[in-house]
Amino acid sequence: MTDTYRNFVSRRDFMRLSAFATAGAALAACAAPAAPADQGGSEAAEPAMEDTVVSLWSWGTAMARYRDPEGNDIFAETLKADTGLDLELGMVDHPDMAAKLKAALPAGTGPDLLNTDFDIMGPFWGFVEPLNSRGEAEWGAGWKEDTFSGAALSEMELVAGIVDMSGDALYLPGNMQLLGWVYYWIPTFEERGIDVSGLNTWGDFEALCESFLNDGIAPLGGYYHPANLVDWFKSLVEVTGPGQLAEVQVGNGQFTDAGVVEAFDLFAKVYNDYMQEGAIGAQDGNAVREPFWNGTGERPMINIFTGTPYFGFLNHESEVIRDAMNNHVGTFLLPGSKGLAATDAGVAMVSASERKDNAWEYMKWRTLGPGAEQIASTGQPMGAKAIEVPPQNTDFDKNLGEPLLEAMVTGDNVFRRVLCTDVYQQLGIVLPGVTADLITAEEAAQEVQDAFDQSCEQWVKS
Amino acid sequence: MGFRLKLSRKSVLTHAVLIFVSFIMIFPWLIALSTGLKAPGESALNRGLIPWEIALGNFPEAWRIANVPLLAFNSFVVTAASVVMILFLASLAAYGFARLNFFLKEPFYLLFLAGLMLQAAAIMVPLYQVNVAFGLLDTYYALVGPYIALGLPFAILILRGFFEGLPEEIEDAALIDGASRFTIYWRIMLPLTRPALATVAIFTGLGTWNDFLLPMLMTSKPGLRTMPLGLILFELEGSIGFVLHEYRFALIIMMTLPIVIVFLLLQRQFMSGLTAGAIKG
Amino acid sequence: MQRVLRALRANGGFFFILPGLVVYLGFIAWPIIATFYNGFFIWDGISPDREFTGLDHYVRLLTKDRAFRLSIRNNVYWAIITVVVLSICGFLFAWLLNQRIRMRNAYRAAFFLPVTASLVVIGYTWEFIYQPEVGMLNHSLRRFGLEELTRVWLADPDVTIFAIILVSLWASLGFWVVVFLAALQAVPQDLYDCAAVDGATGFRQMWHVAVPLTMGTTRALWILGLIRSINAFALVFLLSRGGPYHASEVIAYQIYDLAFRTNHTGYASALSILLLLISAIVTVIQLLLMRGRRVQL
Repeated sequence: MTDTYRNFVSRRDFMRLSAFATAGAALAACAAPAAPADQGGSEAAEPAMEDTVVSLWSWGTAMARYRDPEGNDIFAETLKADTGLDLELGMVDHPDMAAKLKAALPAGTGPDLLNTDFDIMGPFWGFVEPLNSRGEAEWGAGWKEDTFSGAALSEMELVAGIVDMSGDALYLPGNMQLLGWVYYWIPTFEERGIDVSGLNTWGDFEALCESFLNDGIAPLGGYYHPANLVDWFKSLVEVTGPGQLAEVQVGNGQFTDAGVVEAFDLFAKVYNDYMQEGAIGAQDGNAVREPFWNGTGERPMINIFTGTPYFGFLNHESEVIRDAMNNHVGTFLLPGSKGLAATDAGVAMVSASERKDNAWEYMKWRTLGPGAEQIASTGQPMGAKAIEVPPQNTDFDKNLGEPLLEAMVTGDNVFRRVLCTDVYQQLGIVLPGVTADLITAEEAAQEVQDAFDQSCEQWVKS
Repeated sequence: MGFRLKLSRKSVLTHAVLIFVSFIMIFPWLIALSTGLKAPGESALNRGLIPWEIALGNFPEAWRIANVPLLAFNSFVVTAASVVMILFLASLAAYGFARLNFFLKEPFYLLFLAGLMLQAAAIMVPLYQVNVAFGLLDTYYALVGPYIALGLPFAILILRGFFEGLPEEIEDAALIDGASRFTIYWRIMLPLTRPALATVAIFTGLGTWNDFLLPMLMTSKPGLRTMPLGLILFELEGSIGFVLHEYRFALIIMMTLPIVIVFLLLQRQFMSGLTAGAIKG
Repeated sequence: MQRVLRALRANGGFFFILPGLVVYLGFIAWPIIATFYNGFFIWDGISPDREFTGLDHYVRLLTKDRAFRLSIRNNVYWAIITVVVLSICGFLFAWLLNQRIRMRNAYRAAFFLPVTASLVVIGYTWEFIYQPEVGMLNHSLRRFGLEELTRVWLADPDVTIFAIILVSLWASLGFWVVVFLAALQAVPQDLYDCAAVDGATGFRQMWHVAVPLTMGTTRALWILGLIRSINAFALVFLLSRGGPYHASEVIAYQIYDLAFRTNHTGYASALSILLLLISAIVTVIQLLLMRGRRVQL
C-alpha cells in the first residue's frame, strides 16, 4: 500500500467532514437569532405564556422582597395575583452589576427592566427608554411633580440632564434610602447614660467614641461594601467641606480641594481608631456585623448608611434580629453631616425590550401601586408621595422609623450621590488605601480627580 | 536488630510528617463540614469544630434557596455538551494528525498546541467579544463554545499520542477491504482509544464543572446558572442581601460531596486523568 | 478539475482537523486578533464610537500604571513561591509516599482532594478561615497565646497576597505530589539498588538518582505552574478583589476590573495582549530549555 493511497480520503469522508465543519459554522451563525429565545431550563414555549412575561435584573437589597409567614419569598406570586405578570428575575451581585449590563445591553439580550443605581448605570443610561410620553399619556403633564417626593424628583431630573434629556424621566423611583445615619444599641447607651439628642457637633461624636475607647471597647462596627465606604466618605465630606462634593462632581472645583482631602483623613481616622478592625477588606464579613444585630457584640454603634437592607431586618427570618430591630436599635444623624434621602433603586425600562407594555405595568405596580404599598408595609420608604409607611407598632416607630421617615420628608435633599461610575469605583479603591496608609489623602484625591478627568468630565454637565 | 529499629523509627517519622500534612490538607474541609452542620447563626458564637447540635435543616433550606436542581441541570448540560464535543472534535483531529498527511500539518498542530498556554482568565476580553459578535451571550453556546475551544489543545495532544501508539496494521486491513477513513476512525480506532478518551473526559469535564468565570461573564439569566455561579450568587437570594454562613456551607457540602464520592470511587482514573498532561510532557 | 479534486483528496487529512479548527479559530484565534486591534483604541466596549490612540495604552501600562506594576509584582511573587514551594514540598511528600508504607492511598487522597474541588468552594472556605474575628486562624492563634500574630488576613496590605497564594498552594499541592509520585514510580528500582551498593543512603539516593531522573516531569510542572501563576484570577476575585488599594491585585483581575466593571475595554485589551505575550515568552523560554526532548507520549 503506497503512502499516497494511505493518505487518500474517500469522497464520502470528504462530504461528511465538510458537513461537520459547515454545520459547526452554521450553528454559530444560527445561534445569533436563536439566542434570545433560548432560556435554558425554563423555556417558555407557549406564546400565550410569553404575553405575560416580564424580566427584571436587580441586586439583592434593591428587591425589597416580602415574605409570607413561613419565610417564603412571595414577591413574584403577589405580582402575578395583582397584574397577571410572570416575573423572570435575574439577580446580580452589586459590584458585578456593571459587568452584567455590559454582557447584555449591547447584545440586546438584556431584560425588559432594570433596577438602577447611580453608581453603576453611568454609560448604560443610553440603553434606557425615556418615559415622559408614557407618563403624560397616563396622568397628564406635570405627572412627575404630582407623583414623586422632592428627594426622588431631584435625582430623576439630574439623571435626565446628564444624558441630555432634561425634563424627561429615565426611571421611576422605587425604594428610598437615607445616608448619614448611625445605628446604636439602645441598652448600652442607656446603661452609660448617653443621650443621643446631645450629639450636635462632630466633636461631640468624637468625645462619645473616645469614652468607649477608654473602656477598651471599639465604638463602631463597619461595613466593607464599596458602596458603604463611599457613603461614609460622602457623609464625612459634609463635615469637613459642606456641599463641596456636589460641586466637584459636576466639575466646579477639584477633589483635591482642601475640604474633600480632609475627608479622606477623617475617613481613615474613623476606620482605624473607632472601628479597629485592622484593615478594610473586600468581603463584607457578616460574621463580624451579625453580633451587633443579635445583641452579642461589644460594639455599641454600626455604620449603616444604606438604609434599605436594614428596614428589611424588620421581617428578617431570624427572630432575634427581628426583635433587635424592632425594640433595641436606635438611630441618630452623624453630627455635622446632613441627612440625605436618596433613591436606592429606581426601575428603568430597557429600550430594546419587546414587552414594553408589560414592563410599564410592572413599573407602575412596583413604584406606585399595590407592589409599592406591600414594600412600604414592611417599613421600607418609597419615592412616591402617596405611599406611606404604616406604623409597625413596636419601638421601631419611635427609635428608628420616626427619625428616619421624618428625614425623608424634611431632609435637605441636595443631590450628592456619586454620579460617575469611575469616580465611585476609584473611591472604593483608594479609601482602603488611605486607611492602610498606602497612599496619602492628597494622592488619593488626585487619583479620584484623574478618574474624573479621564472618563467623567465629558458627560457630567456643569 | 539495630537495622530494623532504625527502619521503624524512620517510618514512624514518615508517618508523623504525612499525618501532620494530611491534617492540614483536610482541616479546611472539616471546618466547612462543621459549619454546615451548625444551627443557623451558631458559628458566630461557637467557634469550635463540634456543633452544639447537628442542624440537618440547613440542607433543605440551602437546597431551596439556591435551587440546586436547576444549578445541577445547567452544570450537567454545559459539561456534557462540552465534553462530548471536545472528545469528538479532538479525536477526529488527532486521528488526522496521527495518520494522515496534508499541507502544513505540523504548523497546524503547533497552532493547536499554542492553546495549551491559554487560560480563560487571560482571554476573558476576547472570549466576551466573540460572544457579543456571534450574539451568543446568555445562551448555553456562550459557555460551550469557549469550553470546547479551550479544551481542544490538551485533548488533541493526548489523543494524537495515543493514536500514534496504536499499530497501523489494523487499519491497513480495513483499508484494503475498502473501508473509508472516517469509518476506520469511527468504527475501529475510536473504540480502541477509550482509556485516553476517559482521561480527556475527566480532565476537561472537571474543569468545566468547576469553572465560574465564563458563566459569570457570559450569562445573566437565572435559568442558566451553573453550580459554582449559584454558590457565588447564593447570597443574593437571602431576604436581606446575605445568607447565613451555615446555609452557605450546607450548599458547599452538597456541591462537594458528590464529587468527593465519585473521586474516592474512581481515584485511579481521576488522578491519571488530571495529571496525564504533566506526566507525559 | 480532476487535479483540484486530486489535490483535495491527497490533503484529505485536513478535513479531519477542519471541524475542530473552525471552533478553535472562531472562539480563540480570531477574537485574540480582534483584541489586539481593540488595544489601539480608547473604547468603552459599548458605544459605536472609538478613538484611535496608537500605542498610548501600552506606553501608559509600562510607564505610568501603578496598579499594573503592583500586579506584576504580585504575579512574580505568585510564580516564584508556587514553583519553589511546590517543587520542594511536592517532591518530598511524593518521595515519602513512594516508600512502601501503609495508608498510602489515604494520604494521597487527602492531598489530592482540593484538586477536584471548585475554586469557588475553596475560596469561600478559606475566606471563612481567614475572617478576622470568627475565623479559625485568628481564633487558633489567640488560643495558643500568639495574639500578636493575628492579622486581618485578607485586608492587610502586607499579608493579603501571601494569604491568597497560600490558598493556591494548598489547592494545588496534591496535583504536584501525585504527578511527582507517578514519575518516581517510573524510576526503575535497580538504579536505587545500584546507588545503595555505592553506599548512598536515603537522602543521597533521592538527590542523585530520583531528582535527575524526574527532571522532565519537574520541568513540565514548572511550565504549568508558571502559566497558572501568571494567569491567576479566581482566588483574588473571591478573596480580596485586589484590595486594599491594589495591594493584592494580579494582572488577570486587573483585566476583569478594567473591562467589566469600569468599561475601559480598549485599555483592558492592551493589557490582555501583554498578559498573553508574557505567557508566550515564559512558555518559549521553558521549551527552549527543554529543547531536544520531544514531547513524549
